[in-house]
Amino acid sequence: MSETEKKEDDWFGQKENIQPRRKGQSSDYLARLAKQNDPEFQARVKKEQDEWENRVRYEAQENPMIWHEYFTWANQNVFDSYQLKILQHKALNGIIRSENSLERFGKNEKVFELFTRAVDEAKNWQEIMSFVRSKKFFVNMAKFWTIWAGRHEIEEGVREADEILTEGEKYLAAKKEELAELRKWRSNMDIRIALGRSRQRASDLESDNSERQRNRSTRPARKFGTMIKRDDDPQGDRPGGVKSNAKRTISIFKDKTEPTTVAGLEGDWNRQKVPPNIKIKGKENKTKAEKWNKGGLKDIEAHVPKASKLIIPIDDESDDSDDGKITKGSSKSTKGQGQLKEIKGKKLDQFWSFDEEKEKENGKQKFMYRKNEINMGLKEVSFEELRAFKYSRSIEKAAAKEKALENIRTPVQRKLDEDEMLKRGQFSPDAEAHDFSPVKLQFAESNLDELGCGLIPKTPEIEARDRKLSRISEEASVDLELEKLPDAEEKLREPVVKKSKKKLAFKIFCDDQ
Amino acid sequence: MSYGQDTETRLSDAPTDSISSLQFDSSGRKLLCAAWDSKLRIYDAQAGILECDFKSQAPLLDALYEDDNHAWAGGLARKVTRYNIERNIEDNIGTHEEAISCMVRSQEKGCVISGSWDQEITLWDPRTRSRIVSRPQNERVYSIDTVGNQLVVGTAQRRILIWDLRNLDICEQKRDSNLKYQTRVIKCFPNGIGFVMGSIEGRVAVEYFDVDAEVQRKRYAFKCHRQKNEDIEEIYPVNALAFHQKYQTFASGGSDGFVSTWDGFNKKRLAIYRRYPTSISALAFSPNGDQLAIGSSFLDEIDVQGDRYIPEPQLFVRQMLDAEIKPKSLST
Repeated sequence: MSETEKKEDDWFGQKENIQPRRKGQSSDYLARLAKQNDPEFQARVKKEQDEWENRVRYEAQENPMIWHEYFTWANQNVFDSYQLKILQHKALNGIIRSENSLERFGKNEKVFELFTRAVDEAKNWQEIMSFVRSKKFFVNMAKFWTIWAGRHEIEEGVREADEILTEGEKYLAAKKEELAELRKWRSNMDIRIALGRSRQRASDLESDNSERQRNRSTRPARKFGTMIKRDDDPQGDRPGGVKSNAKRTISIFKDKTEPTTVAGLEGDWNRQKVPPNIKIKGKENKTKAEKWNKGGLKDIEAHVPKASKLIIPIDDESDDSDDGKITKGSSKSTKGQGQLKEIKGKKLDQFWSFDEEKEKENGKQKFMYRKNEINMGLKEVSFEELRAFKYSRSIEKAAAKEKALENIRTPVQRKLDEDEMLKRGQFSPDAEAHDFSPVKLQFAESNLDELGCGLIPKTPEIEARDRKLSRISEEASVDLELEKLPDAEEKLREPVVKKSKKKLAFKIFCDDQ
Repeated sequence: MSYGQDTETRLSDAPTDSISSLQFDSSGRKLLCAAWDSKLRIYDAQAGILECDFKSQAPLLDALYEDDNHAWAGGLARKVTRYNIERNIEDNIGTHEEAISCMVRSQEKGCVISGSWDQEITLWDPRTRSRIVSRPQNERVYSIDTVGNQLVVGTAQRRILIWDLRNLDICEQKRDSNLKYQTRVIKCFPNGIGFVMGSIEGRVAVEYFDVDAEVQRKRYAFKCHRQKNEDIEEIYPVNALAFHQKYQTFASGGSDGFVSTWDGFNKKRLAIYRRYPTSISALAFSPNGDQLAIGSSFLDEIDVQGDRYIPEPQLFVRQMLDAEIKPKSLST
């Protein structure tokens, strides 16, 4: 590293350098950023990331929120924005695709936060919003509708925003608080519109006007003074109002049966997943709708957006020959003769789930291996790595179980141990860590007699009177037991007597101490 | 052409878990087998019986013969271990930070090379039993093979690195795999002109070392280990590749349970054998090429639903016929 570069690096982390802070980067983040080249930090992050990757693979099915935890961790430790973007996409897909996800996460704040982040940074936010609504995710949250409307408002689409809020009100009709929040936001938007801070796109207004002119000429004249209902007749001729534009509609999401609306509220998505967050801000959006326009929208019931521009389609294996028939590769990498040059192949489609979905749609191929598990995290893994992780888990579990079993003693084992220790005269309750130690601390003079049934760690000091009483009660109990066996044979009586005597002897021994 | 089981022997006392690797000794009489049951076994390939075994601390992922009396193995225990077969002694040569995924012996350099998930390859000296040098690969190493002075390393994220063993200071070539999906196995042509690699998604690619445009134009990939099932194509991983030293042809084994032999230069399939009980996890030709060892064992590569029966690992040694492995051009 040159001197200048080093100085720049030093300056970057200085508190006097306000530029990063102006951009909203916190001191913590900057401190971590400065550390990212530290080998120790890198090693720690690598280790932790491996752990997360494994956890995601094996726990995500039961606990999909682990995706959120992983993403939260990655946000603080991974500085590769592209990787973060992929992880965000995978996390969102992982949660939404999980079992009963709608019931479990349909109103979850954390998932919603993840979702809003994805929408914030996505250029195809309309697709994502439309998809999520069709799957009924977050529709019972006022925030969902306000964020959606807000995005339209920012992009000078107040009519779309208005339509979305109207739709939101329908969903939130039964939820007073949420509805109030939505209406408050709506009234604020109205104020902004009134103040001229938010408005409809000029281009839309122009096209609206021209359409209005056309409609006027074809439509029969309306009675003078007729009221125009805003909700009932959005296409109505409202003075100074704005109208929907069928051309601008995100009609690629619509079903045939449903009417056209401005904001893409209609229709349903056939896909099970969130659309890939592919059109990142700052990158040119080259995905054109030409294909759809050429054929017209009539025959299209559902639409899958075009694949990511991040996929670089240089396919050496594009020839889908039959099994065993060998195909020729391209010679694209053979320029630069005479010198060794990196040969670039096709970039892996990071949005694997999207790709897989397309393949499923084709219904022609079936992958006979754990494709999802292999590509689940940020890093791909091999079958052997998956198995190794399972193996190490099983070893850990077995060790933990063994350790736990060592500490668990059955009552019979405990008794045997104690008898053994008594025989050796080694019994020392203070040194024992088993179940008896708490008893020693808890017993009081009042329940002293009850201790006769077990081992007494240490006889507490008691009054002589009580001691005497105690002995008398023991003797009485022995007598009672003997009396209970009037006609029993000696064989039967003997053990009982012996047991009773032993008990008494032990008691006396304790008392005498 | 499909071939049956009339020319093959099933070995007794097969491993109890997945078979990781197979290798014949120089005479072709002994077969070394590493397995996930943590045992290194040596079989008498002629008699089809187990001669001896060594217990390791953890599953073994690869093993090789240094000479007829010494074997090396590595696996999840992260240790490179050298076994003296006659004396039944094992010696820990060194360690990696992560599991050792693959090992290979360089005839030219007389050293053993290990690749690991710690993203490094390490060269070991069998004479001094010590590490010679380690080189970072920037990704987890999945497969390695060597021929002459060339060492080919296949890593995660579909990277292929080609090293010259005479100068390990710089990597000679770095390539992205010609295949779209994860590299599973790499084997070099015995004549040293290139290598073949199998991917997780039923394809094999043939690549050449020479970067000359004319040579590079010859590289290609082909589909294999796929089954048609009611108009749906089932795609299986290619788990194993093995070269015939004499004819430069190779065999491939996939999770579909089939073994095929291929003529890489003439782009022809030479033979396809019967379906084995489960996935083909390892293959090895004997040095003279008259035998092919086939390890059939489930690799846990797919979720087994319900009570589906998983066949036990099995080992076979097949006596090769010229028709199965000899290129058609030579036959005529």
